Amino acid sequence: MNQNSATLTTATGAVALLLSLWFLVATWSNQGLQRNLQKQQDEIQTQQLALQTLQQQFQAQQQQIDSGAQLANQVGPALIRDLASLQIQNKNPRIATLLKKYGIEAKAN
Amino acid sequence: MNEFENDSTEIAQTNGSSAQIGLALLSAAFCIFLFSQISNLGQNASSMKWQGENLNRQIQSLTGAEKNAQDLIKQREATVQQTQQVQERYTSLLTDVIELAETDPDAKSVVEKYKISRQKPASNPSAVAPVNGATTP
Repeated sequence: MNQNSATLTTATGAVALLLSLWFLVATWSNQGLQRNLQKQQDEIQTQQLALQTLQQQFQAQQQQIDSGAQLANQVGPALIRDLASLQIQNKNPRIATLLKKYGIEAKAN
Repeated sequence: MNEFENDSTEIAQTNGSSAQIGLALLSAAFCIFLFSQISNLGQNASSMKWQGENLNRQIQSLTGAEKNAQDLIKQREATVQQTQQVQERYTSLLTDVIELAETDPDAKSVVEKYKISRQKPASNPSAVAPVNGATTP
């Protein structure tokens, strides 16, 4: 009886020791995984910031292109047409000189 | 006397055996506790691995998006330059029109129609723009 209980105690103690070691190894392994996750999250944050900066740059470009297009396609030609028609109607030589400076020559039809 | 000695030895053996069984039970309980903890750690590890894979995919997606954005910005640089040239040319024209408007009524009517006025930012003091106008040259 005494021999059996001693064997049982030793066996359970040994199993507990092995499980303790396994527990330690698993804890270290999890800590490593946790560190990796943190690194990945930091990397994502950095990339998101970089992407945000690029998006702002893109929006600034778009605004510049839009305002340029509006000027070149709508307001600019209308303004030049008005200047040209005033030059022709009122025979204004100063406006003619101004337009000529920019390579525009207005002629009456 | 011998009978007494035998009795005390038996009692001592019984006591030792009980203590060992108690210790064994304690060890078994500790084993169960450790096993549950290890099982939890395993589940956590699986969860973290899954999260890591997701984060990796997110990083790849962000890297792709960043590259696309860089390419797009690079592609549009030529258009932006052209736009800047157009704007500079119109700014120059509008500045001349404003100057002419000081002495010429026809130019003045155009300036008033398009509500062109001088803008005085620190970087470009010669820039002109409509007050409530359609564009900013």
